[in-house]
Amino acid sequence: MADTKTMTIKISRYNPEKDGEPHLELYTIPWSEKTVLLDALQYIKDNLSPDLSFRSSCRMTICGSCGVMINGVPKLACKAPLREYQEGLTVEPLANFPIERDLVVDLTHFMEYIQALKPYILGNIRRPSDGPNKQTPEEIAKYHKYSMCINCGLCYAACPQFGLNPKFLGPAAITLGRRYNLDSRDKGKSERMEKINSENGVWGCTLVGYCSEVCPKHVDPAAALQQCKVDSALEFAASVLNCKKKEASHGNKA
Amino acid sequence: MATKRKPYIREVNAGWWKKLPFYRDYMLREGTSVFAVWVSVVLLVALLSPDTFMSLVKNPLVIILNLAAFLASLLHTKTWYALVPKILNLPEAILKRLVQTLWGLTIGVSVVVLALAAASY
Repeated sequence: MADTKTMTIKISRYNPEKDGEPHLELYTIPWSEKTVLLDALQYIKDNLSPDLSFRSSCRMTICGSCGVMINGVPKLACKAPLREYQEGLTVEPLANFPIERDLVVDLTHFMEYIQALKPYILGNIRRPSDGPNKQTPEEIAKYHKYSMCINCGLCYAACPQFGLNPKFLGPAAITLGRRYNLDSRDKGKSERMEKINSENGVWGCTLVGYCSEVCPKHVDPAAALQQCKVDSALEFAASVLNCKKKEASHGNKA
Repeated sequence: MATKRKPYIREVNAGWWKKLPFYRDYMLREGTSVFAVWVSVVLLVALLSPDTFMSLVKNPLVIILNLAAFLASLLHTKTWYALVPKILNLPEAILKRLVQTLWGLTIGVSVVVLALAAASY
């Protein structure tokens, strides 16, 4: 252990029972080429500061629990090797969410928005006796990328529009909506488009594009949102045309 | 039991875009629209009073502003073409060819327009 390398990292601490606002604390930890930030956080909790709060579960970029800001950039702690941060490392809770304690944020908004977009197959009346609901590789390819989301919330921490307006449905939720809108087995597009077209829907996006940059699963939410805008604009155009047609037919009747 | 929760909300201030180079690039991209307004004003002058327009475009300050507008439009074109694939849900090979076609068209049309302008000068 004599040749163990050490590194001093800064971690944002906030205890709602004592602190008025978060503050940074320094911790010196041993590390090797294989150490990721999540290992370091667990080391601190086990050896230096047992009251450090952070979320984690799978340790392998699958569960999406351990999102934090590393030097101001949203990252998963399990996917952040310390060897890449030898010039300094500041860990803060995910941006744009209220801080509950230390590195734990309140994701209620995020979860509600995901539910609002109904990310599941709607209106499919098939029964098990009908056999498997087959899809061609081309049909799967249309939405496959968008189905890789692990709900980690990094895209919300990267989105300045969500930061400025927490009512904005945001990248991941709308992307999940898009994922099911593109699914050939689904019949619920009109239900989801109501939300997507709404005041805090897809038009809150100004294509900053940082969501796609930080996504650990390369989902490209910025692309999904721009495609939703195309859908939304086409729906609007269709509704105007339908209105005109209805007016014309009413006029003829009168 | 009363809750001990006291969620801390970090306010977003007007300087949020200075935090990361990515946000700065975004603001620069959006900022090119200011020059689009400038070019529209110049073209409006050309439409309303061609004589004023001819003297206006010879003004050194206007030449500098027009040069800046030209650079801004180049940046806007580059960033816009980079974002085109996001709008279309197509296989990557097709998207790549599409962007190459857009660049080809842009360069081709620019060369033709410049050649025509040089010929009539």
